[in-house]
Amino acid sequence: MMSGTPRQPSDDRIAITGMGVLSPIGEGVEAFWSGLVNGVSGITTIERFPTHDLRVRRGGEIRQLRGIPGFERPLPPCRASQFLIHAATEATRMARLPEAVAAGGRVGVVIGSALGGIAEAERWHEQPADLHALAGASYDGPTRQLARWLDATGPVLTISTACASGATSLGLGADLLRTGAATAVVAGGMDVLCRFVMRGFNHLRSLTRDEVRPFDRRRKGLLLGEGAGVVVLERAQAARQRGITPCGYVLGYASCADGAHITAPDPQGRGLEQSIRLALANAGVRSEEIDFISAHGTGTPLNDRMETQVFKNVLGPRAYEVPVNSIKAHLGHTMGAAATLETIMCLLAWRYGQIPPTLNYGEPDPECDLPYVTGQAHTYRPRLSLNTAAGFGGCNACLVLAGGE
Amino acid sequence: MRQEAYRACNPQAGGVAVRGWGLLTGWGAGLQSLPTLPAGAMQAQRLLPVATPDLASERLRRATRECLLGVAAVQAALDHSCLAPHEVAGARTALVYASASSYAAANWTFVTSETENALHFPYTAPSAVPAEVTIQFGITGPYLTLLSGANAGIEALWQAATLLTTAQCDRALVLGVETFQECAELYTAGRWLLGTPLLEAAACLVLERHPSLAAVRYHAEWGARSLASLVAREREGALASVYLCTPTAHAGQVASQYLQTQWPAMSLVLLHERLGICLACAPLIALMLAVTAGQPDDVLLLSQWWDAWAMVRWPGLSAQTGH
Repeated sequence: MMSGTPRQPSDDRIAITGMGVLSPIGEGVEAFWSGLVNGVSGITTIERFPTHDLRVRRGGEIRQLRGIPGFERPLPPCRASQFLIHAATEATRMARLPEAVAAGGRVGVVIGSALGGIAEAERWHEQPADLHALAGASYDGPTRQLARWLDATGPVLTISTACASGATSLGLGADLLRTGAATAVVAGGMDVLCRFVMRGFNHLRSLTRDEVRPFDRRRKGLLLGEGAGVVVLERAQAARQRGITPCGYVLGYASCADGAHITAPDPQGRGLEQSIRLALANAGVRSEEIDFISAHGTGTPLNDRMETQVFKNVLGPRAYEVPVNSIKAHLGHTMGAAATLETIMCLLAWRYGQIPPTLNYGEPDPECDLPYVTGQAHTYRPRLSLNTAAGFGGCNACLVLAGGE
Repeated sequence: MRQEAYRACNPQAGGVAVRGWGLLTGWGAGLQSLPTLPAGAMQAQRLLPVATPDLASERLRRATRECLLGVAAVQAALDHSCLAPHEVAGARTALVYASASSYAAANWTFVTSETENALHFPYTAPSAVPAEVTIQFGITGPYLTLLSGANAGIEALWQAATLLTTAQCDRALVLGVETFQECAELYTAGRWLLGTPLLEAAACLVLERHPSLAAVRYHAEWGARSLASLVAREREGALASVYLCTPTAHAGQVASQYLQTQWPAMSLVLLHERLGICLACAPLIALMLAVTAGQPDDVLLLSQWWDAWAMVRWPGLSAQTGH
């Protein structure tokens, strides 16, 4: 089932030519996809740091990092940097990026994160003699490590729009390509679980002791996760000239403010709605052409109700025909990585003609009454997808994505 | 309808004008408080703190110092631009925030605190500063936080120019906040507090689209030869001045020596020598100084952070509308 036709001149499109994933349900794009469509949950009891004093001790933790075949260099000690390097290595190999660099390409890096290198600040607090930990504790520390690992030559940017960061980074990457500041951009998001963020959400009481149940009447809150999602962005024409078949396209992007509350989303979702409308305009796509929505879908009562209403506002009566999912119950809320991982999911859904289910959904909520994909993966090939994201500080972002044809 | 929407978000001719600004630094309020010559007297100081603004707002009673500085800098910029707060409310004003350090105080306090405070955690997010600004002024337009160290200021100017010239907003606020006082021990451990002192600052520029100006040009490179590569790109066309913004005095000296060999006749302004180190705020202050100088030719704002150099070439400052 397909609908919609991207109308932008194909030479102007921003192509995604490589994808890389590190997630609680698997390392690598194929393991990630398999986990999503088979309904695997990566939520476990957290083991890597003490949680005895916390109300909720579960999350989407990555237990083991495999080595990176073909590299002799040791990985930096910073876990966030390791996550990025793992995901970026897969993405750049898929895009055959080293060939582009050898041909004189200017490779930029744009990474989004809600926490940056804060886990390194915790490490430095425990081991004050370790100045490497201090240097890595800034928000841009992991981005710089990745730039060094990749031998980047173009702009190197770190952004933080809280839990919308993984979408914002792709939008900025596209801007770098459009303005000619880079010929390829390694863009994405990452975050690691650490005591800092677990303590913070513990005190906000936004973590659930139950399962994460996006859009379900019984939903009580979110669980956190960790991971990294990285993509390689290039101009479509340049990718074609290199003989690369794109995985998909970033057609449009926007990020807008709620201007409402320091943590909670605007109950009317004005910033999110503005982001979607601006991203659609940016893409040159009508809302009638959207045939899949990857929702932020955190499983908190307010977010899921607000998002549902915003989708109805933008799509009108068609909202009841467009499938919606959330993969936060598989992974936990991976914060800065979330929107990039969801972007990759959208493109894989096009590639494989399946939409992963929203896990743990059982009881409909009258206020969340859209056609959520639940139970099993649905057979459906979305050509034009919306990926929405929101975060602390009233940050909202939206990407308009197309399958890789 | 589709074509109209598409046109609305694609690059249009023209550039960006500076309508006004607000500035609070360890030297005082406003551009006039800054020293006019390299400030020898500051060498004995490690840090020039900025006073916490007294905003007398019940809503901001929990806000951190960096949030208050951000709100105060925006208010000062609106005053300087002769804009009422309601004129920036809504979806047609963008807020682009840049910082290298302002999140450190809240984060470090939360890492080290024995007593936990749920109200404190939201303020550890770097987006807390722009969030308080958007709430205070009702801004719901394009919104971004850049944290690429000292280069974030240059990137914020580029991104604001992009949002304006693609008509995604009608007005853009570029805000930078840098605070150091609460984490002085971190900067000491990282050897930041050697030589030129750190200057706390909150700086906000109000930018608007200006059809008759040339486009703002951005470029950035990473690697050992990135400065040389940027300089090679900018040889074409008349340049009035280069404003050099480096994160340490040593880096500034090395870069200025190189720039003097490449552009012997160029007017070179070393922000660190004149003001102190204010990281992402430095390019914003440099643009204020350039507009005030009213130079007819382009100015180049250059900044460095670790292995990266970034620049914006800002055209035709004599045509700017700065007050």
